[in-house]
Amino acid sequence: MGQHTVIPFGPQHPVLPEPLHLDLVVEDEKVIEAIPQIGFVHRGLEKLTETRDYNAFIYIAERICGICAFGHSLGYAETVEKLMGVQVPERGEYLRAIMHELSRVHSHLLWLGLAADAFGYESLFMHCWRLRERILDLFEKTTGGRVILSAVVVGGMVRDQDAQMLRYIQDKLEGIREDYAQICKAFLNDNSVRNRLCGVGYISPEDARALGMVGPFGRASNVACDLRQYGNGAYGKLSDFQQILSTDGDCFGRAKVRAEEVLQSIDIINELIATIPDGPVSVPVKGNVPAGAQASNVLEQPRGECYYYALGNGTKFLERMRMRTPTSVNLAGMATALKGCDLADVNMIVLTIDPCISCTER
Amino acid sequence: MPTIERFTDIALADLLNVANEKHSGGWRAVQVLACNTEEGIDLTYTFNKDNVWENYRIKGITKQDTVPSLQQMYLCLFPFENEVVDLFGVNIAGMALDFGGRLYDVAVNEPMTIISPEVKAARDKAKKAAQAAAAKAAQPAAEELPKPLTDEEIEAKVAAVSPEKQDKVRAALKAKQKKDQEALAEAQAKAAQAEKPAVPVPMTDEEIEAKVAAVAPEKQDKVRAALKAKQKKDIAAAQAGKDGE
Repeated sequence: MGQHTVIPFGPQHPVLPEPLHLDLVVEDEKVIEAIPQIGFVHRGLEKLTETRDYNAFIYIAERICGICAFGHSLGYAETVEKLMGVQVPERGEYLRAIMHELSRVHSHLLWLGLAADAFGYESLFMHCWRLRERILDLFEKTTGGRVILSAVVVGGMVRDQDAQMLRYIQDKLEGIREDYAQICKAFLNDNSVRNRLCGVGYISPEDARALGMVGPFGRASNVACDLRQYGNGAYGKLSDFQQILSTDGDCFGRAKVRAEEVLQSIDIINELIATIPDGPVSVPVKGNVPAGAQASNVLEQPRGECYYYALGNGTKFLERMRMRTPTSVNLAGMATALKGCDLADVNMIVLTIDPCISCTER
Repeated sequence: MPTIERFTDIALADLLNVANEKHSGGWRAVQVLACNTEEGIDLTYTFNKDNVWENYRIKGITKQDTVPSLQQMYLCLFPFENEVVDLFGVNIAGMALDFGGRLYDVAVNEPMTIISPEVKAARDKAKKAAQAAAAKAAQPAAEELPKPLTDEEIEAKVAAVSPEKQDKVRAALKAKQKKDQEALAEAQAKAAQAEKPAVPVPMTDEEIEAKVAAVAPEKQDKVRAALKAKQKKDIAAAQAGKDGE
């Protein structure tokens, strides 16, 4: 039996995309235990509800994360709308879902690129990010921003997209789909990818449920946790939605779920554009939030379930706003997946939960 | 099948029972959140199963209370329980992964329980405005009250009834006239009071210094002088208001 050694890993480390610290207890090359620590980028964003009214706070909410920016502004707006009893016009809901799915495509392409980079497939990384640029171009064309879009307001969307622009989005996505098919083939069939990912960081479906794993991380262990299945907003208008699951439970399963979800999101966008109704895209929301009124909301972000909570105090400022991000609930699963792995696989396993520590700490 | 969110208030003593019940029922722990209130810290635990999200709130947790950790059942709650300890100062006992108040490297202890004087003043002002608006809404406006009958109208009504009933009807109408006149006078007095500008409450020296501390050092002298002048003016206005009463 070898000697146990503790290796401090991160928060600044060449293979880590986020400021996460791990105390890795290793025996020779095997990780026996991994204790995660966060807390290096806490910004106190939730406390800013004291000085930003509920309409202005949406611009703080979308700055929680640079990748899920649209999702956070959407989740926040939906929570306040529940609190105020506001019904968003149907066209606004469709546009929100279209933009949210575009965000998912861009987030997954970004992750697939990072994963390719992590297992040493540089050209695949570049192809993924090249396609992602085209999604960012669509954001710029429709909202004027590439990362922070400021497209959502409490009550709907900032601006409508005409039929010509929606057709343009569809055309661009068809082009992306063709190129993406080649990339997807490499991810799912290439031997070098399989050799690096299959059987690494396995979590059984039972463990995944017990650890409360969410998002593609959970779905790769066959946990049916995609919130889009409940049909909130425009997702309820889809003719059919089958969440993408895998029984692999390893790093390959997590890559597979995300790779297939890109194509699923393109299909969803096409269906929503084909059926989008006419009408206004927002309603004005004014007045104070009732004192003591509380509401919670859940949204399927690209990384998984995000939980929002808001409490009113009779003014235009919220008494409390809470965002619980998917990474924060997936940390326990990540620590479990690291047990028993090779030291060289640590970065790959950490990456496959798609951690966002900035989101987690807010 | 849309998502359903429910809220239930429970006692601190019931927390473990609720968590055990949820755990054995196959529910997933979603999160723990804290909220700072005047009575203490409110903790909300969320559990999920299928399309239902159940929120259990425990109100008014004080420094003397000890909250049992749920990490033995739900390890995924470790970031949230440690966060509640760091940011709100709640005592949580029995955590499997305990960062000892060092999860977040914060500059001040329990930052989420600190309410700045500016925020407190704004909240008090908003609360008073809401109370005044509610009181105003509860009071009928002068124009909504019935108009008191004039003496001529009373005599005209009395003339229309049979002679043996005239004295009785006149007395009843006179009593109603008096009641309506009193209600109208009261409503008019209240309306006049509401239209009067509110006498400003002068700031204390401590409040002035708190505001001064919040601005850039090069502007502090100027801001202090302006606030002192406002304080003097408000004291004079308050004195004038008292004299007027």
